[in-house]
Parts: sequence; C-alpha cells; structure tokens
Amino acid sequence: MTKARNLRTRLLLWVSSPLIALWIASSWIDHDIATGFVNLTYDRALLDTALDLGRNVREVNNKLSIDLPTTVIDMLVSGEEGQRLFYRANSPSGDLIAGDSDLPKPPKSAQTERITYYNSTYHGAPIRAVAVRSPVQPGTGKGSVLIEIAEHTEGRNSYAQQIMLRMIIPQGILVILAILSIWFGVGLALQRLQVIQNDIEQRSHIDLSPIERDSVPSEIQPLIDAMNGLLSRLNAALSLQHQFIADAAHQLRTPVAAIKAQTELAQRQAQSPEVLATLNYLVNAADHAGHLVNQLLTMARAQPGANRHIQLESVDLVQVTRNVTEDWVPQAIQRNIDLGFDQLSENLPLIMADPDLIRELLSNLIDNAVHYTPDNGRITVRVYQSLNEIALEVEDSGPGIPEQERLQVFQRFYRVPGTNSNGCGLGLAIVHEIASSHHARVSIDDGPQGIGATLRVYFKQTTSI
Amino acid sequence: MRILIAEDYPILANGLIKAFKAADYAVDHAGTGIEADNLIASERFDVIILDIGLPEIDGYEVLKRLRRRGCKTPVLLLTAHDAVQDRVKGLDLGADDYLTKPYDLPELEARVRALIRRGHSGGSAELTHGNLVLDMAGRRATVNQAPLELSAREIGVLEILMLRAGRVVSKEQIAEQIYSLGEEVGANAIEVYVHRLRKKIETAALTIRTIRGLGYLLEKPKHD
Repeated sequence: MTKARNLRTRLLLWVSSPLIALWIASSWIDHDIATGFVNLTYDRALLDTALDLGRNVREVNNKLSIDLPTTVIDMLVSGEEGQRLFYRANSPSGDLIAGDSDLPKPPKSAQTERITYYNSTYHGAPIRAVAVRSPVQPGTGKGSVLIEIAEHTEGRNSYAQQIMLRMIIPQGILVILAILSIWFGVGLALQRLQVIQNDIEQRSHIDLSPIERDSVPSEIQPLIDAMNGLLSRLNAALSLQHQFIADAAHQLRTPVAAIKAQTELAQRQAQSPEVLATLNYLVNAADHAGHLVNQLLTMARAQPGANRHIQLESVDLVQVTRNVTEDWVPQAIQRNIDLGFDQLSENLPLIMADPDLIRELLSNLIDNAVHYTPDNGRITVRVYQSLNEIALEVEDSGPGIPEQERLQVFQRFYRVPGTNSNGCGLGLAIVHEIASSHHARVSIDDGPQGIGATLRVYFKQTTSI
Repeated sequence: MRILIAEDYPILANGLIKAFKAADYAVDHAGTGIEADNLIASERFDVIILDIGLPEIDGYEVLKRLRRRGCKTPVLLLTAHDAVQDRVKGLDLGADDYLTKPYDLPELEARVRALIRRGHSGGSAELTHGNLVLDMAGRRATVNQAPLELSAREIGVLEILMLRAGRVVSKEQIAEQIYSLGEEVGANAIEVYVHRLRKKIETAALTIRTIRGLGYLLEKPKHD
C-alpha cells in the first residue's frame, strides 16, 4: 500500500493471483485423479492377462508348460513399443516354465500373497508388474505357479497426461478469459474517471465550481464529494481574501482623497517654488496611491469567488472598445498623444464575456500604453477578425517591451527595469487575469518598424466558459 | 452660494470646506447622516455634496429622504465604491452627479459650479465656451459679442460639440444631430462641415480635435 500503483493493475493482481494459484492446485489434484484412474484400469488389464496365463498352465508328464492363446502371444510378442507386455512363469519349485528369465524379481510378499502389484525397472525403463500365484491343479496340493506380467509405465503415464491436459487446458482458458475481462471491464469503468479528469484539466484556475458527481460510479462519489468540499472551502477562503482586498481598497480611498484635497489646497496657497515642487510630488504620490487602490479593486473583482461569478453575456467588442477608447481621449490629449481607433473588420460577431471586465481589460491596456508613450506619441486601438478569433489590439509608440521581459510583465507588481517607476505594475496582471478568465490569450510584440509595443488579446468567437 | 458638505472623514471634510470657502462659498458641514438630514430639512442650499458612507444613516438614505420631501437642490454624491450598480443606485435615487474617491479638487469644484449653473439657469438656452457663446434657442453664435456667420448645420455641429465639450463626439452622433434638421448626411459631409466650422471660429479660443476612428472633440478651455 505504500507504493502507488494504478487501480487497474492492482485489481488485476488481486484477482488473478488467487485464480492462478487455484488453477495450479487444481492441476495437482487433476494429476492425482487421472493417474489414479489410469493405474486402476491398466492394473486390472495386467491382472486379467496374468489370470489368463494361469488358467493355461498344463501338466503333461509331470512337466509344466503354458498353452498360450494366439491373442496373448500377439500381445506379448508383437505389442508396439510401450504397449508390449513382458511375462515369466515359474514352477512351484522356482524353475522357469516360460517367458523372460531376466524380469526383475517380485517382492517377498509374492511368495505368500495371491496377487501382488509392484514397480521396478526393466532394461533401464520403469515398469509396473503384477505377480499372481496360480495353483497347478486346484485341490491337489501340487503348489502354485508364479506368473508375473509387466509392462513399461510409459504408456499409462502418457494416457494419464492426456486426460490431465484435457482437464487443465479448459481451466487455463477460463483463467485467461477471467483476467482479460477484468482488465477490459475495469478499463471501461475507469473511463468515467477519465471524463472527470478531462473536466478538471480543462478548468481555468478561477473556476472553483463543484465537479459533476452524478454520472460517476458510486464508489468514486465519496471522493468527488470530498474534492467538492475542498473546492468550496477554497472558494470561500479565496472570496474572503478578495473581499478583504476590496474592503481594504475602499477604506483607503477616503484617506487618499483627503491627502489629495489638502495637498491641492496647499498648492494654491504655496508661496515658495520649493514648497510648490514638494506639494506637486505629494499630489503625484497621492494620484499613484489612488490608482493603485483602483487597480487592487479591479484585481479583486476580476477573480470571482463564491459571491461573484463572471456574468457572461453577448458583448459587441467594437462598441465596448469605442466607448472605452473615447473615455481615454481627454487624458491622451493632455499629453498631446494621438489616440485613435481602427475597426479593421466589418460585422464582427459578438463574443460571450463579462462587459465590465472587458472594459477593465481594455482600460488597463490603454492606461499602460498612455503611461509608457512619450508626449506627442501615437496609440492605436484596433478590433479585427483573426482566423477564428477576434483580436483586440493596442499599439503604442513607447519604448516597447524587450523580448525577455514579455512573460514577466504579466506578473503582479513587476516593472520592466529602467522604465519610469510611476506605474503600479498591476495593469498587465489585470489584463492577464481577465483574459484567462475569458479563455482568451494575450500576446506582446514589437510595434511596426520595431517601434513601440503591440499588445493583443484574442477572444474565442463562441466562448463558452 | 451656499453649499453643504456631508463628509464624515474630518481631514477630507476640512480640505473641502477650506477649498470652497476660499472660492467664496458659504459652507455648512455635516459629519453624520442625521446631521445632514436635519440641516437639509431646515436650511436652503444651492448644492449638496453628499458622501455615501456617512455614519448613522448613509448618503443614499439622506438622498432618498430629501427627494421625498420635494427638495430639488442639486446633489453630488461622493463614494469610495465605483461599481456600476452603486452609481446607478445613486442616480436612480435622484443624485445629479457622481464622483468616485479619490478625485481631483478642481474636478469637484468644476462639477459643483456646473450644478449651480444648471440649478439657476433652469436649463438655459445659452452655451458658453471661453469667449464663444452659442444661443441654442436663437441659433446664433458670437465671439466676444461679435456674431459669427454660421449655417444652420454648422450651428448644429457646434452645438453638439459644445454640449459634450471635452468628450469625444462620433460622426454618427453629429449626423443624427443634423439629420434632425431634415437632411441625411454622409461621413464625408460631416468632415466638410467640421472643416468649415474650424475656419469660421478661428477667432474663438477653442480647438476642435480630430480623433482617429472615433470622431471629434472640442477641447475644454484652459481656464473654466
């Protein structure tokens, strides 16, 4: 149990080992039964032959001889190798009457018992033999002739083997069929788990909704229930955390507003240029703090918890993009930045999205562009069809983003080294967060002629989350 | 001009009071919802600046009560929440404007001035932009009291730009404005009207910017 092994192999091992052990044990028993029966039959045949011989002993002129029937001669002499019989007949005095004189001697008990079976070897091969004491002339007291019949055991052994094989092979096939059906049966049953696995693999990291449990085998349901329990606790904990960030941000807004109001008031009353410069710094810092607070709120909102799920609806990306871009024009004009919009494809299909989050996404993209574009620069926002996706693009004439920085800029609070430090480093993290919650992908490239940066977000046309 | 500032955070309230007093307003202050409600019930103000997160009763409740009493004083809501539903709730309850903290002091002052103007003119038919005045009822425009020679359509273009000064106005919006005068116009025609308008108002201290792909924007005068 310490080593993790897959369920299928484990089940197979647990079921197939006893099956195979049973099979081996039953082969052992089969072997005993088969040899038992074969020996019984073959011994019986040996005895019959011996008794036959005994009946054919004649006494002529005080001399004993055996009058062998032709059938017996056939069997004794012309029997095939392995089926051939050997015999010997000894007179009561122990003289050879007929047969093979070199047949091994029977055990002592043959002198007294009427019938004795025994095993021995003859010409280097194992034999089975029977010794029968047959009276010369019953009632005359002339003693008994000792008749011995032997045969090689090879014949009966191979017969016993054949019987055994006919019992073992079907059993073996049964065992193999049982193992195969377990292997495939378990595989089929586990396919449901594969479905769950795919379901979980395809989830985005913010999707903490419960795993569907009704279609899984009832043995797995407790596991799914436990996982769902964990997911819901995780969801609650994350919601609390997001709620905390949101609450903290809200609480911070009022003091930041107070700092700004008081500082702006002081700016008006400032007499010396040094004080004015200091106050200007203060206002900038307060603006920065305010911006950060807003972005924290957006961040918390972009990661829905138990209380807030993404509200998907049909969204006209062109309309949303126009509106958000328009909102940014006054700010761009202040620094004489030429902010424009370009709709490259007509009749773009709607996308399924949360319109508030899409506004935040685009707002942060433009904010980022405005932030890094120098005065008198140029920013263009575009929406167009790109194969089966809809692309949202913001192109600026700023310093661009070096290739080695392009992955890191999506991390929270990351700032490209050497850029002015007034940004708060959350904008692109928000973009990334919202994009991934919409299964959209984000890319960063150089601007045209290598000037500036072009950030693109590709939305799936028929997004289903 | 008399305004009420209902804000519970003392340092912010103090800053706002000083700013408006410096601009020659008579300023009253309420630190709680009940206090604000009582003051509004007993006194007359030209504008009320109302924080939503007031103690005792919140800004929404104060707003609801004053509107129920039939008070028509313009109300500007201040809030630390910027969710759309908060904004909609405030406007539904009868707020005239809405600002999210933190805001620029000049922005707040400008909005208060706008509310006062609106409250006093009762929807005046005159738009002023620096030295340019547009008489919407008489369809006349003057620069430093000197009349401008503008066609009806040029007046229409100027009117919508002035109504939305500082914001982008799309060609479609301009076309709708002129269409209502009984003629359908294309995007190219709009460009011609704006071009002519720019020439004719050269004497006025205002700039109409072309915003690529979006439309036009009448820049706010440097000093409101």
